[in-house]
Amino acid sequence: MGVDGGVPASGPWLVRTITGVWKGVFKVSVMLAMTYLAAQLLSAALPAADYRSLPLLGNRTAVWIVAELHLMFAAFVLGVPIFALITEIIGMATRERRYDDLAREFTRLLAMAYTLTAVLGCVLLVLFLALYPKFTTYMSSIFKPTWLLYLVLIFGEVIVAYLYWYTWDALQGARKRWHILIGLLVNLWGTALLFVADAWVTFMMSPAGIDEANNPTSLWAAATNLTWMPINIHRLLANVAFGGAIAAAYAAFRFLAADSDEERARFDWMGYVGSFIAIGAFIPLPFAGYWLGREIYQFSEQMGVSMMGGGFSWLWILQAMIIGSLFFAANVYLWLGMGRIPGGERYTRFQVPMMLVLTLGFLVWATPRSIIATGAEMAAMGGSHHPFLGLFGVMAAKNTAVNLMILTTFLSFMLYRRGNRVPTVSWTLAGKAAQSLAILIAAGVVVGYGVYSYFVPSIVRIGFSLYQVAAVLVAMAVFVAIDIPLLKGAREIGVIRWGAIPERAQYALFFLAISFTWLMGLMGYIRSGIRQYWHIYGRVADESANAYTMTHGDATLIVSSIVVVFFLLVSAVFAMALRDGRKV
Amino acid sequence: MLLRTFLRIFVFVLLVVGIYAYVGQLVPQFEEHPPKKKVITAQTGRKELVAIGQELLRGKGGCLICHKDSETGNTRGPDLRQAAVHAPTRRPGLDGEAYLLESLRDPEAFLVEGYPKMMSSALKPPANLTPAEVKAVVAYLQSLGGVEVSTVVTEDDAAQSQRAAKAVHRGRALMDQHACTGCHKVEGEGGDAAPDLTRVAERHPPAELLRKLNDPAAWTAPGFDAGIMPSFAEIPEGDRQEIVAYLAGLSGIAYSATGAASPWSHEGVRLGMIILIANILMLTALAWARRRERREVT
Amino acid sequence: MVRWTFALALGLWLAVFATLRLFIIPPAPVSVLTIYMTLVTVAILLFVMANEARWQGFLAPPRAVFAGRVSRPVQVTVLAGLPILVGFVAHLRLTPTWDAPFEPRVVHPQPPSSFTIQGRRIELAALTNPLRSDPAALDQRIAEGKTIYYRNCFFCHGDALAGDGPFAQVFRPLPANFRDVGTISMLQESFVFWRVATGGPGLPKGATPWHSAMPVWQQFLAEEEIWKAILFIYAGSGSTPRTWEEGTADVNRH
Repeated sequence: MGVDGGVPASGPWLVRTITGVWKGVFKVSVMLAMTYLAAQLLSAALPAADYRSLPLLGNRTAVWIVAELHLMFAAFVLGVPIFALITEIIGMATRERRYDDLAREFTRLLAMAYTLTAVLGCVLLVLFLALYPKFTTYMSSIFKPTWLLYLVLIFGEVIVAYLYWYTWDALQGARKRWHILIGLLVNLWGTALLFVADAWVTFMMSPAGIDEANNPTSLWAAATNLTWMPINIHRLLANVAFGGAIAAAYAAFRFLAADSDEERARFDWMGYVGSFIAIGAFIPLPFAGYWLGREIYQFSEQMGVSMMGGGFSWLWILQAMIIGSLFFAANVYLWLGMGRIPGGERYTRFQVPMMLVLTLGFLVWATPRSIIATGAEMAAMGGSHHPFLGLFGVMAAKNTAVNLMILTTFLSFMLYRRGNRVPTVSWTLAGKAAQSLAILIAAGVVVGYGVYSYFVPSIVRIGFSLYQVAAVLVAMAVFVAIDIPLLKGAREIGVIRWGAIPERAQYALFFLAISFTWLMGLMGYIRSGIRQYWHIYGRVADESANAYTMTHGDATLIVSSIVVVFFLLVSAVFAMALRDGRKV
Repeated sequence: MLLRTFLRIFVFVLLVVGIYAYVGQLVPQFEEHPPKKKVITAQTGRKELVAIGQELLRGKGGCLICHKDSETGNTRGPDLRQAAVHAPTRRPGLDGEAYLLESLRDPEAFLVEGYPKMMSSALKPPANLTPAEVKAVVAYLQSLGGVEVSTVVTEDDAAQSQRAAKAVHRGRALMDQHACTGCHKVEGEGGDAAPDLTRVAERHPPAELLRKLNDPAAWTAPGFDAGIMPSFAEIPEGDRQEIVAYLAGLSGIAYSATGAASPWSHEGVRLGMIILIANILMLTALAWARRRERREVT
Repeated sequence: MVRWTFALALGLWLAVFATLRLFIIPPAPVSVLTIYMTLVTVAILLFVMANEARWQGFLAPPRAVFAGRVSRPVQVTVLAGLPILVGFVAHLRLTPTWDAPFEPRVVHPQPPSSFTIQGRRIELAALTNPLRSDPAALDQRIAEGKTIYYRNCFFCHGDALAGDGPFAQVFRPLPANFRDVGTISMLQESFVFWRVATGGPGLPKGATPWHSAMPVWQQFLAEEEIWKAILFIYAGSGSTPRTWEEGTADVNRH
């Protein structure tokens, strides 16, 4: 296959491209037709009702499972093109072939995932129409124009995405720019899709644009409601993190199943890049989350309290546990990676203080706000608050802890980058001192504000978290700004031995992917669950038998089942990508 | 090799997911149920009763379609802000509370001067209030007029109210809500000003009924004056569909409110055509590219 | 160093356990201790795993034991000791105690959107302390609140507002300690008002099981009296109510 730019203007690739794109369009067309027919048949066959019940699973659980799976695949297919494009651009800028191959490897995972996303979306739509007819009708009375827009966007996305894949070889060399442009379009369409779908979801949380009697007044206001933008941003970042984690898991799988050292080396590197993307996009996520939380409080204090302080507060302990574990896993992966870098052993001694900070941070992060205690223990504590441990239960301590953990993980990564390199510039010592100082100052600011915030009212305290974040971000920027000239022309101790990494490092990558997926399922449940017995919060009540909020145990079991099913489906997708890959 | 790797990873997935699920079982477990629907009992406080009455005036009672309880509003019926004030002097032998109760239960017993006979009993559709709810409305009217809230819900009222509450088809509830039953009779209940709709679906198919709701001028039943019925194009489409589904059901005709109201039905076919054309266009392009390719090869 | 990894890891684990057990005063509840020790175990294991040399050093002693490369007494001690240890832990966990069962509960139960006080419905979202609108009379109101507090609340919530009144010890959970940063200073006044007015019976299902002995104060106090008492518990404990709007937090600071 011609890859070096010498492809004819037309020829086999044109036929292949049009065939591929048409196949994509055809698939979506067929799916839509099936959905239409199924919806028509079901609504004609079933008796009229406000709610219908599905045997076995029940309405809510069925919709929940399908919606969450749809969301996970959608997150994957929206997240992957973002960093596939970035990788491709890096490849173009550095003229390194391996980046281009990597971007291609990422994109390869997409094709099947698109189909599955669409199938799940169609099933979800049928379920909504069949099980929640009244509610669906109401939603469509408000959002009908956006449904049409969504349809147009789906076709657009399918066309550009398949174009992106099939023109990969044809648009190389001088024509690479055009391919990048197509990649950009894929991301634009994808983001638009996300934004439109978010309008429906966020409207259910923070309705706007309807009058007292729930009649629509302004579609624009309904779509751009209070929580719309925070969720857009939150999901965009999370999609990248999620996509990166799944791509890394794919690489880990290929690593474990590899037959040759060459293959192992390639997928070791892919896993590293994937995990780097995942962690990189993950770090700003809490801040997007704070913004969303703030908007929820603004919209309804009651909703905010039920999310953070009420019944749902227990689930945040789980979230804290997962986030802490993610930090652990990311650092352990990097440290294990040091083993394949000649000269990496110079930094082994830093692992002790770093692990200490991470563990202490995790301990604070995991200290429950509401302590479970027996009567005797409570009497000993002198109340439901522990005078000492209680200090770690509040947001101020947790903000401080998570900022320090972020800083540590960043440091881990920077040391990893430096692994086999010895700076040769004349100001090496001064540069290193400045870097250490930046990190220390940031840590000082974070801890200082953390302690100080115990002495000020909450409204001031909330502002402090911003300073802490800013200090961490500035320190990171300063560090990188010094690091780049510092390592220019650095002496290399040896070449990174890609592939020479213990197998358990690959399990760290799986752990990242599983935890991300589970966390996504959990957060989705919280976001949806805090509406409690409302379809549309405060406006349209859920009058079905499923209106109650289930126990956390049941909810986590459902989330867990969804995650297992997701990984089974994803394995199927990967298996097919593998088969296609071997064929080509 | 592949399968073994897959199985190992799958076990790992189950392990991690299992740990998370296990921790999920450790936190306190409880279910939260939606609040119970508000039921008026003999113990309901006075202020709460007034609040329920106010809600009834606006919502279920449909009183504000004709009356007003604020500066702005409809004047087809008397201004309710003064109702309790004038009540003691309206009917000799009846005190204020008794008059208000009578005016709700049997409106035709006494008509305020200058207003026509048009209200049906609040105990019957379209308002269809329960005896306890009627008391709540009176309580609200008394507090609105600034007189002492004297009405009391008895155990008997509450018991009767519970009997009265029975399942109603949603389309029927909407007909009451939008005051259709003020003029039309359905299943033996409602006004006489307009045709009986009980068997209307035998005469007109659902699509026609929908059209009539949107555009009352479409046709008028023989024997009735045209131009009386207001347009119901304002009410949400889903509600209109529900009403038609209810009426169709009365005549034994199956009609799905939801299928017809789904956004897929009206434009569905048209959209399908467009998608089909797009597919054909792409196939044409494909054929063209194939031909070109063959030409270049030869 | 690497040779001693296993011993170091084990020693570290025991040291952390002893520290957490002995040096946190008052003792940390078992639930928290379990979380901490689980995390510490995972952290130590991960740290050991994160470096190939360390990992091999860590695995060497157990391998030696199971492969029989150590003296017979050591082998017997380990192989017999492990099951005994597990059995002992199981025994500890299963022995019945005289303790009252766990009280899983949330610190701040979610308030309803509205509630009824003396027959009137109140929207919680829009609720503010009416007595704060007149800053000039604030000290007077706080003084009145103090009287109300000592006539009604003092018996449980205590002289120093620290939840340690003369009756306090008979209640589980203990009465709230207003001096704790985690109680009223985390809350808006509207929330506190709701808790005072509706008491233990007013708690939502989501907060259960919470056997709060807090009386339904709206049955004993007028609305204004409750507000005055709230003014006093904030002023007396030196805390400020939580607010969401900028600026209003300063009102109560003298």
